[in-house]
Amino acid sequence: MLSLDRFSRTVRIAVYLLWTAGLAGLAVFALAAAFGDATASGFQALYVCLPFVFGALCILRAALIHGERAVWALFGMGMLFFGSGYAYYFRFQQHLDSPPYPSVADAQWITSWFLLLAAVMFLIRARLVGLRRALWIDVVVAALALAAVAAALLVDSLIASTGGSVEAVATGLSYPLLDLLMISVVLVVFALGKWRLSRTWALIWCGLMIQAAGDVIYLYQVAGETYEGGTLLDLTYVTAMSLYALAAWQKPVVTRSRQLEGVTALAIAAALALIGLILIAFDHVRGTNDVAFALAMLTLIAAFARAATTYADVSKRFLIQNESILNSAGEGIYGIDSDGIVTFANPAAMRMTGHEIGELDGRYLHEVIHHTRPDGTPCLVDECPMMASLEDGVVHRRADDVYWRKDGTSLPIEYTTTPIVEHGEVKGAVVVCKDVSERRELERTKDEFTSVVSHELRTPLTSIRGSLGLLESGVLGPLPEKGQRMIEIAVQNTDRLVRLINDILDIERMDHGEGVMHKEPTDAAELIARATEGLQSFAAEAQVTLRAETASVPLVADPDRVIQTLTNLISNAVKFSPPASTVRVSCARDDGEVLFCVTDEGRGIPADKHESIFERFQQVDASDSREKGGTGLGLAICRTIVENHGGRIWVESVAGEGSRFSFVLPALAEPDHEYGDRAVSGGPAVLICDDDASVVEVVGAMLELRGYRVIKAASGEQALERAIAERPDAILLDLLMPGISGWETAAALSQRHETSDIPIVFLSVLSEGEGETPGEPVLDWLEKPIDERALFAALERAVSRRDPFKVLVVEDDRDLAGILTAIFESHGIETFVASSGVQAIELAQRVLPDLVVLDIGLPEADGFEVVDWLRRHERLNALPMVVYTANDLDEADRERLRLGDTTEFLTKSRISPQHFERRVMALIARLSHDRIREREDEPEAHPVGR
Amino acid sequence: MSQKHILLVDDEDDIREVAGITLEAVGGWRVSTARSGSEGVAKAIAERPDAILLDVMMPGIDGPTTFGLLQAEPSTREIPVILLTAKAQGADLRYFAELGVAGVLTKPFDPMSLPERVAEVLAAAAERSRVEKAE
Repeated sequence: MLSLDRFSRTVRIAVYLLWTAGLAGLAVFALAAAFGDATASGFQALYVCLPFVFGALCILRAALIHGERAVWALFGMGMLFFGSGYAYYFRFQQHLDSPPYPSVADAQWITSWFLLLAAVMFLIRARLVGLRRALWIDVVVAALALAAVAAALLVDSLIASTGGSVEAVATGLSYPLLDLLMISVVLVVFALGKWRLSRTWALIWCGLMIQAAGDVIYLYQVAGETYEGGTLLDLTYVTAMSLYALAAWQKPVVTRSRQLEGVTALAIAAALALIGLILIAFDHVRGTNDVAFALAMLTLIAAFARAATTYADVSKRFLIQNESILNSAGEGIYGIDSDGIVTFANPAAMRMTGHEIGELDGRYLHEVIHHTRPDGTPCLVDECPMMASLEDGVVHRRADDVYWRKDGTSLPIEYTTTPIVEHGEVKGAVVVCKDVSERRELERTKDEFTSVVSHELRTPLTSIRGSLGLLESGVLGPLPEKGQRMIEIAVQNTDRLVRLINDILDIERMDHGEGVMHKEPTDAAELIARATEGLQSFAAEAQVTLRAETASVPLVADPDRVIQTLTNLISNAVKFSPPASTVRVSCARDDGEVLFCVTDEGRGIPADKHESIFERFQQVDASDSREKGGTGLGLAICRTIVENHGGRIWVESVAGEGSRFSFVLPALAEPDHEYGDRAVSGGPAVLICDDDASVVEVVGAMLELRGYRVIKAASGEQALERAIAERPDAILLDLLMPGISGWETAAALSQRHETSDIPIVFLSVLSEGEGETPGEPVLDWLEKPIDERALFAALERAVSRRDPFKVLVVEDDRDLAGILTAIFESHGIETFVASSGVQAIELAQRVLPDLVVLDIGLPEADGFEVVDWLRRHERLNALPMVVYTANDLDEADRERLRLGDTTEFLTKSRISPQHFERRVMALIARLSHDRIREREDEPEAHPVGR
Repeated sequence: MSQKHILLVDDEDDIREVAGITLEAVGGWRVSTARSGSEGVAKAIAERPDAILLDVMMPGIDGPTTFGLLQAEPSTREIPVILLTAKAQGADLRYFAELGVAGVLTKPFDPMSLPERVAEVLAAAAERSRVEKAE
């Protein structure tokens, strides 16, 4: 029971008195009703007072104790109304022969029941935590279903007995119905509260059952017109109320409700409704269709509402679950649409780049975070792998890229872009990225470690090697024989140690991808020549002949590393060859690959060792390391180098009959995961014409790596055909060809009007002065072997000649923007339109326009912001600009907007559209002319001889 | 012909000693030493050697920086410099070559190759000055 300690003595006495009165009165009444005649008026008075006493107790509890005030006040008031109902009945109706039914007393009693129902509902809310809307519906569904069934069963007898008048039926029904509602509500509550009966609920439950029993009896008595106030029947009501009052004074216990599975609740409600409907259908209850039917319908409606709620809940839960997965992911996740605009970005991604949630929605992802390469040069959209996957529908990965934060700092990143394909069409892409700064840090630490270690190991070795070498040479004086021998041994082993350190460091670097291959176009024969050159003296000492049987095979590889591989293999061959034997080195082209072979006549390698010799520290024979001075790492290093090129290495050998070590390298390098690889095929098209197919292939591969589209031709005639058909942006033309020569081809091209303006670059083993000097449109002359840098410089020059002029119009008035666009396009100028400052900046980065036409009257002073941003941009800070305004600008504003020398100011009010057009076109003409002249003046790259 | 003078700049005491003895014994040259880049520059200006052997990794200013200082100084600009380095990677060697030094030796070096390279470099320098004088 709740404690009264903190209340004043007066209060405590009052409460105790009330309890005493109430319980005593109850006892007296019970005895009287059981053994005597409780209908005497003295008892009636008692009878009326009891509900008031218990009601007062409830109201006192509500007033004195904090919490659940509404609940107990309602209970109290309910009891008061009950009491007053009785007062009215005894005062005005009892003595009548046929009291009206229903009467004012009934009205009060019904009110009382409603108040009790409300009290119970409020109590549920107070005592059961975790009830959600769905559960309220569950409660109502269950209750309605029960009521429907009860109504179906009870109503008929009721009507029969009362003669069927609507009010009578309604009144009679309402008590048990309300009771039913209350009971079923409490039942559901018990179920939800996991059947834990706190004392309060137990008391209320008992009270409700007793009350309900009383109401049923009342119903029959009324039906049989035998109702009389003051009988045992009334005891039921008063007992019930005493129980409610007792409940009021219990300590509140709050329980957590469990969730009724939607399906279960639905099933229960459906079953109950079904029972009711079946009863009606069987016409078991004639004439009660209306009430029961109405209740059944209500149940069904409630059940459907429940189903809808369940569905909504489940969907929401699913969505929340998914969202919380995305939001909790440690990796950054972006969703972009087919234009590259951000549709979704999770919190991890926002954190990485320092943006606010939602700040990136609607912006171009590439322009915001991927606009510049790690080395500071801008990254164009065409080179962006994220955009590439939108074009080609293929997954792209980058391990070594950077994103740019909002504050301008960079962030090393590793990401994967996966296109979203629906019905064969790319609808967008998902970019999952990871911040790899920690990993970089680790790699850098390891790199430093390796470098420090290598230095620390080599430094003392230098002194050791130096002093030993000096002694060995005899320069400091002769040594005793044994002493000389000791020194020799020391020197040999020092050398071996040095080689070991070099090899270990080498293989460590390559294994961890730090030994980056610098692949370039080179020639197999030349690499072999350089390798054998270095080993001639070594071979001569061993009395072994080195023979190279090579033919020129161009390929793309890392020359130093390939030479290192060849050197290893050749020196092994020499080491294990008997004197007077020959070691042969050859290379050959084999269908897209280049095959290198080193053959010796030594003692061979047993078959079971053919694989293991390529592993670290494996030698065919343990004694070999000592004798031959190998480190055991040579072949392992060869394998790593070959595999890093995407090739294979193996040995063919029979013990006792010599060995042949072979490795293949792809003629064209695997695309490094660098910029410009496998890019959009929208790049400029270049036609390569050379009668040597391998040149065409190698050069073609280089061009494709850089994003050019390649058209191949093997002769002058083919080149002419292809050029006419496909109109490339530039032509690389070999001069010395069988059939029609390069010159003749160039002449032919310049005569056909479809191809006369295509720039041509000659490729030749001759240098420029030796042949005829061609005129336009031949731009350039490149000597073979081709220097990559020179090639691309020449191509860029060639292609840019045909580049259209690009204008960015920044104008928020769409009509005006349309007019400007039409004007520019009529002059063949490519126009881009931005309608806000933000869009202008994004487009400017993407498109790198040659001229900006800016309406300064953009909302929110955006125009000034755009200029400020341009001023800070590396490439765009001297962009020619035409600023036009509605009114004249003052000098201060002009200064703010001036961007370099070529900023023109035009005022709308002072200039007619035709004049505007003329001024701007004149400016553009000037700029185009300057641009071409500028490019012509650029110093040519000189081919570097190999 | 006057005896050539070589300046050896390296922070490692033992290397200075071994290399010094090698140069003197094999090449017959006079050798002076410095233990740091700054000391090396000072000595180079003061003594005007015929060639300088310069270690790359040193505390304080490193080899390439020292080379830069020597190049900046008119009195030492023409003195040929050979870099000594423990870094033997192709990329590093190319970088050093592009600096404009007369030669690069990787450590540990064969002590006999040291005097050879120095001799080469001295001969080349002598040839250049002869040509210049003839013009």
